[in-house]
Amino acid sequence: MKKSRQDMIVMLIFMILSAITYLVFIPSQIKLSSDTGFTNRTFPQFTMIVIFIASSAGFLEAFFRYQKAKRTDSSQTGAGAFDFRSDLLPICGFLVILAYALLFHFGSMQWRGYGFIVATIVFIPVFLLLVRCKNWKFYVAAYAFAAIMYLIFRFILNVPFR
Amino acid sequence: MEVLQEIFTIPNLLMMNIGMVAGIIIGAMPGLNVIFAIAILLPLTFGMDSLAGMYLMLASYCGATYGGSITAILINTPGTPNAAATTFDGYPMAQNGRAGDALKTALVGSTIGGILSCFALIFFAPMIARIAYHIASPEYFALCLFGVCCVIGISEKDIFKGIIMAFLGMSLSTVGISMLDGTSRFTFGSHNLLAGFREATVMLGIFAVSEVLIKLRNVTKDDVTSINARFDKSTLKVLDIIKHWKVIITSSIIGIVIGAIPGTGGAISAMFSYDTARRMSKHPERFGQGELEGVLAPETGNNAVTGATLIPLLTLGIPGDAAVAVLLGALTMQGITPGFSLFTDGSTWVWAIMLGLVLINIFMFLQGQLFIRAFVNVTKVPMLVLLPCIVIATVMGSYAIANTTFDVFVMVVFGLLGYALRRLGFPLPPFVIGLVLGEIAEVNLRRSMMIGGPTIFLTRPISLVIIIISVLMLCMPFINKLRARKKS
Repeated sequence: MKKSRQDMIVMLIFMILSAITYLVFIPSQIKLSSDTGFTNRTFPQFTMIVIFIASSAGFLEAFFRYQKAKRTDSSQTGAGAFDFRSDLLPICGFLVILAYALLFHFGSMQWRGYGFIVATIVFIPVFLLLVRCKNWKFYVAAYAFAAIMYLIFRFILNVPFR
Repeated sequence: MEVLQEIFTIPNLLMMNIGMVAGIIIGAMPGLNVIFAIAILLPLTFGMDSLAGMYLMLASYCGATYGGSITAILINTPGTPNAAATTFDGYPMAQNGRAGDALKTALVGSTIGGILSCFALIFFAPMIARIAYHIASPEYFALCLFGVCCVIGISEKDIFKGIIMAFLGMSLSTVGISMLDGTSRFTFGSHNLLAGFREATVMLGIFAVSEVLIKLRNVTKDDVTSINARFDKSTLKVLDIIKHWKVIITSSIIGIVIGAIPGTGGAISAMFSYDTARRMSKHPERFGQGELEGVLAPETGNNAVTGATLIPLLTLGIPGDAAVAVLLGALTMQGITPGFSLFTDGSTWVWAIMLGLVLINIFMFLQGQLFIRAFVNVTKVPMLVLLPCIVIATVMGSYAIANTTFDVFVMVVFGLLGYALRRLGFPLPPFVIGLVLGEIAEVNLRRSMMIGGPTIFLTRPISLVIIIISVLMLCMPFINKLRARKKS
């Protein structure tokens, strides 16, 4: 039941997003190249129409599933449904990865040539502490991997890390 | 001779072996699949010669397909979905003290299946390319539609989610400067978006970063060992396995046919091969209890897909599955346009790719024979160490694509999007196929409309047939549902 309800919400979001894209973003973000026939707006509009139709159909399907589940077994919770508690660590993980990217970006302006190195030095312990890792060998292994990868990218593939 | 000279260079041979080691190791890690293996190695190919880069990717593709069998046999956990059928008899064999025999059977089956698939590629690809020479924009658009419908069709459980994903991918392919008239679309004033989303960046985020986030849900501080199974040395000789040639040939044919059809893949081929081998066997009751043919059939079947999936990619430029879509991304980054012209422009490149794939399978056999114990030990690396390493590799990789941190942010955002979509039950393969095919589909649709209007698709027989098949593929899940409802 929870899964059906979740599907209904997600499908509704897709319906709204595709409608907004069709009505607001496509006219504002794509200047018409010609007035007749197949324009540069036609294909994006077509994709949005399909998404809108598919999400509407998906919404209806989830709604009927929800109604059916309500009638048969209301105690069912539904596997695979979003649960904030179990998704807390991945969300924190995402924030740490985002912070790593930000530190890399701003670090490359602040410390020219060392931004990536500084960001990686900070990232590894923060990430491993997030997953409550206390084994020092894991920290060494991650640093060793980062160093090897840096050497490969910097000196073999000639990537100019800033 | 010229082709052989191109293949047998030190960098090429090195890349084949590096890709193979990486592929086997990644394939053997439970939860990390073939697509992940190719996506994570993708950034390494940017600074390389196109042939060496493709060998790296193809070797990882074959290696990961085989590598999935290691954990399937030793701990009853398939490293990749392709190896799910291998657990049925592989794990019972390991429990009976025949883990080495099972691993060797998987290796021999994978190698022969892979090599036969390469021969099919070498034989059929030039023929299809000759036909492809005569097709025009309407047929190309129909083929793109076919590819998308096939991949949507396999998300049978939730067809609407498959459709949404495919068209979301297509709509994202429109970001940036339009190929036909040079106007900018969905750039929101950012010059970084003028080139659109780079496929490699999106794939790194959607597959690799989202995998890290998914793994974070279950990772624990005690997660220090993955494999505790005993590794017994094999007592079988290669000839003992080849004795089961009927199973090998049947499974190879199944793999080749399934691989050449867009939207299918190794997992379906392995299951089908296993089922066929059981029905063909004189002792079907032994299946599920540690029967050698029960390992041989799925492993031959899933690796027989690897060469065949390249047939539509190299001849028509249409990727059959998500893994091959990543390969197409790599080709595009190298400036190579797949299609019939690869076969008609007189270049040896495509022949070097096809023959090199045979060599890759031979390397797979040699590495599997010599280093299987090492591969088993490497898979004991705890997930806790792997996760930050994957993040570092993806950040480096996404930066290396265009030497800009903007791509790193794009990758991180797509990582979150991929995580959310996977948690909500949306299939990712249609998204990737849509993203890769979107631009080709739009350009060919627009050209077709300019030539003959909407009716052009119905007046040209090839495009009409392809469109009818595509519609049928899309309707198949609904028909199946209705039939199942009628039966019940």
